[in-house]
Amino acid sequence: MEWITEPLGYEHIRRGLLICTLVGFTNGYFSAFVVLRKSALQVGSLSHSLLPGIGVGILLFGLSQASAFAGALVAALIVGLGSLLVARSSRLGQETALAILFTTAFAAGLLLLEFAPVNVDIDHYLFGNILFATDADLMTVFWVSALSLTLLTILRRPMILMLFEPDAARALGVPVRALNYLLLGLLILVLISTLQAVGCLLSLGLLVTPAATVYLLTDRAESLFWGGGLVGSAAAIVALILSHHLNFSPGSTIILALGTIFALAFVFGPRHGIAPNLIKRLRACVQQ
Amino acid sequence: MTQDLENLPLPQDCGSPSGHELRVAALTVRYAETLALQGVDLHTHCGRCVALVGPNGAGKSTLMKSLAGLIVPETGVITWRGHPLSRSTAEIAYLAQRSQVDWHFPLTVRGLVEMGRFPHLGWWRRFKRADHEVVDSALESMRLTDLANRQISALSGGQQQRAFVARALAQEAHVLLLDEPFTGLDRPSQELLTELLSLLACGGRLIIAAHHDLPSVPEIFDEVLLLNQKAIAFGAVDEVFNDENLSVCFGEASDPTRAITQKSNAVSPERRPEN
Repeated sequence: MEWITEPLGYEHIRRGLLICTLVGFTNGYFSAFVVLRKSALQVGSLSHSLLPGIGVGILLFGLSQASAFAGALVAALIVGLGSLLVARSSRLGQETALAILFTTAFAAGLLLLEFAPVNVDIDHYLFGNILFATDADLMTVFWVSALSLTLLTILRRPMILMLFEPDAARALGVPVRALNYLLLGLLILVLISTLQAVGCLLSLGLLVTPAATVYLLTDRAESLFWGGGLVGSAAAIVALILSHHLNFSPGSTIILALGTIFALAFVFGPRHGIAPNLIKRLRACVQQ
Repeated sequence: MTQDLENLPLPQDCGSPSGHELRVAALTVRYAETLALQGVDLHTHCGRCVALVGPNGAGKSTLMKSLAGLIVPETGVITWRGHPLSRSTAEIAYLAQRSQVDWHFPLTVRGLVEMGRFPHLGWWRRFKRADHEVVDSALESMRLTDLANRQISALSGGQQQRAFVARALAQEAHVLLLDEPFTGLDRPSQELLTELLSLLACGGRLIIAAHHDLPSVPEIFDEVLLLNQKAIAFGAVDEVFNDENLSVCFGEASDPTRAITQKSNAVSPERRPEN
């Protein structure tokens, strides 16, 4: 018991746990959208392309949350829309275009941050540090979580229709294009808010792995959302406490915890896991 | 099940001639530079089973998507029950080709059929008992009640196709647009689907299906539209489904029978400009 209560004595850990809960749940909930839309790769590219935006924001307007936020938003829009433009007006596919744009953007971001007037640690943007999150970070995360969870819950029925079969959804009266843009915008918002708190690699992990894990366990699309949220926040909370005792980096520990949970579901999942299927096959062989 | 087929009344005997009317007039659809449909006319009623027949890229899917309100035609008018169709309506259900569906989506058969209630429930309203009853009877009439809790990839091809028809029934659609529903089905599944579709037509629904397998057209459908960008011929199967029209449609004037045999073996997905 003390193992849990002892870390709670520190204010930065209490705040970290609060952020873990919010960020874990919101990203986990949203990961259902990312997984069902099969756009994990796109989200990965987008999350890395935020870096130059943050660099430019800091260079132009100084190191503040607003400047970094605005810069990241502009960068995400430029890379997102730019890849669409390149894909539509050349022979390249959108994923190819996205990869080119985001690697270029990431390299530009690294260079820009070197010239930034303040000392910005690149590790911070990759893995972040939950334990050094500010009150402002916490507030941003809270409001973005509240907004996106509400909207996502309201939109869930038409969204699942659209994700399953865009054409049929349109024929059933779902405004597919508008819904798609709204959800992508919301995704970018979530990405940016968590990026500041926990870094872009961690927000990417939280935006894919939780629902991918639940995907292996359920036949109901709705369960991916709540299940993803629960897996995301539980993994983040447990990993943060673990990292305190083991003196590990919290960000890396959370990603590893998520990876471990996924691996467990992959191997031991009752319906789609590889171990139960193997056992079934062995039994069938023995019976023959 | 399939032996009952002979005892069924012929579809044209039971469809009410005064059923709802679907009229397509001078429909032209263009994708960027490519002309997909050119001045197509069609006039039919609920209670019929209509085949869309034509070579790959003839515009069969395009025509169905236009009827579903998914494509805005360049010119021409689609009239449904006397009113011009300006956008999609719940009364017309569109069923995509099976190859275009993500079968591993976490969705059960019942979940799929429940999606059909969307136009009636909107974005938020909860399922009431009446909605569950509609879903139940849709499952029942497609003989899927026992499979309702299966994930959709754990079905055979015929069952998958029937699950989508059940969704259209839950939607309370009058018109069912099916893209290649018989492609890839084994013989028994084909016969069951034929039987169920003709029952639906008897019940007053209009079935319109793109169809590849030419020899089976007469046993499944009562009307046929031969399509190759333009409407080559439209009418009752025994009137217009002949070698002369087919050879015009498939452009193999030298040997029309070759067109039939070739096409019946083809199972390749249709190549369409929008893909």
